[in-house]
Amino acid sequence: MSSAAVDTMDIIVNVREYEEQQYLSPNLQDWYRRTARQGRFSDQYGRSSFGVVLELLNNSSADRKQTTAVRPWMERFNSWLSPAIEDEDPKIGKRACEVGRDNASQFIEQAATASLDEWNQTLAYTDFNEQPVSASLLILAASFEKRAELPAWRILIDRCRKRLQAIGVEAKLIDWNTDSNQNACERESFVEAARMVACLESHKAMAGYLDAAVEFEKRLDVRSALACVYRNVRYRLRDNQLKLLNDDLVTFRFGEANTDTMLAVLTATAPFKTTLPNRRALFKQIQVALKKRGVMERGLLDGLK
Amino acid sequence: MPIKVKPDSEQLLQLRHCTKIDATSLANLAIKLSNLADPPLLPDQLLKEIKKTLSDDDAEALLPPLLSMGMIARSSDTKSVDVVKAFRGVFETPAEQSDWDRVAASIQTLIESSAIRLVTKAMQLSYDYANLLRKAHIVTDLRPLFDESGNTVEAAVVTHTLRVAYHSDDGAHDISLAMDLKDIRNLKEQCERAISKAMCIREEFANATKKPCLISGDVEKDNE
Repeated sequence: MSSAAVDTMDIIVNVREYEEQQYLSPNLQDWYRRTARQGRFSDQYGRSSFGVVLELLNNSSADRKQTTAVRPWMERFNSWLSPAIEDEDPKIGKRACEVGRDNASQFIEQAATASLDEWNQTLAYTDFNEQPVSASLLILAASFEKRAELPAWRILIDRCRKRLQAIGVEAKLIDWNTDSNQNACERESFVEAARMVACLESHKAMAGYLDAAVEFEKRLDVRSALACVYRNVRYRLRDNQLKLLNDDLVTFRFGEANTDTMLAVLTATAPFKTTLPNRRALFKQIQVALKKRGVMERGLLDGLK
Repeated sequence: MPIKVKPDSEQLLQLRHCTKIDATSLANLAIKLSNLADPPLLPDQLLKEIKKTLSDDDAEALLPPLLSMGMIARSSDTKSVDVVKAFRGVFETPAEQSDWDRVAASIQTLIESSAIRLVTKAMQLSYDYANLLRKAHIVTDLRPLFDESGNTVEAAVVTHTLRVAYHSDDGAHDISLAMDLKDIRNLKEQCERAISKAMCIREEFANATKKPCLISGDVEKDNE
């Protein structure tokens, strides 16, 4: 089909021609019927409608190329969010987290040089519903310094807030005062939030998920903290990554964690305790920590040793 | 599947007006409408809501394109982000496209908002039928009765024809039906009864569900 745009009547004529040429799939016939009704509706209601034509053939569109010029950024930080950055190095838990942070900083540095026009296009034509929330949070971080000149920035933060609530994360994770002048600090807060949320969104175990759980707990979002622990441990077990899981346990900052998260780590790993050598030491450390804090109760650690 | 749009000159003017609306106000409106607890059902009510944030001119220029875009998204099963992307192609100069880029995120959010979604859905469902009545009127004729020679009128008969114009998938049609006075009285009675039933069922529904109910084609004062 020609890419020239036509009005509703032309659509009907064109579609009929395609029917004769047997180009039209059943779905497009449905669409034609719907569009025909739409045309009648517009006529009846007296409210004019824009002529619309769907591209029936997969012609490459110059417009699409123009509006997707900013996509490489998304790909870049998507690769940062991907758990594929992990390798089989036993120390990967800590290292991959650092690599992730570096990549995020690099991404933000590069993205920050983009012009306002490029940012407007990114915020307008990126399908954020199809991207992880963590990717949106990185976009917010990268465009943080230009937010005053980007009205769509506030729209994206509102969208992120709703999507966080939809996945059960407390929206206060990003509810700080974005109007203050502490740019660097708050930009980092978005990066940190992105890292934490990525640990909940990914369908594979993410590096640094225990750190993320502790951070969720510090922000009084215990539900997300526990979800973070249980999901990521489950992914480790599902993907037969017991060695990595054993290494994860060394990175657990139990001194900063509250009782709920400590118990979650022990509970989630309990079914495989015999194949996790580091778990025994962790159990003792947690036991001591709980006693020191005066929260050790009789039976609290029963079945978790 | 990507879409392409071609607005007429009036629509293009409205779109250009939209790009000149203060982007911050438009973003405020987008956030407000997407968080509206009780979104309106009627375009006029929606317009009032928009006027709380934008000037009258801006609101009146913005609403028709928004409703059209919402309908395009619905009827072509296209994502709102792709709809605003398609509308970018309407503008020919880079400067105009840049202006559109500034407001496109807000417009996308507005199209997705429950307020626009509900109004466009209600409007579309109101007319989602195979045949749509466009116009109905009754032509009243006087038919003279002539004598044998045909030179003198001896009497006359008054007749009525109901002319119904309607649209269907294959275009415009009309049909004429002869009616007598009894038919007309019956029809009048049925029309009044239909209006009464509509009001009754709306009240029942609204009371039972505490949700708004639109009578197709009704004006705002009757729907409040």
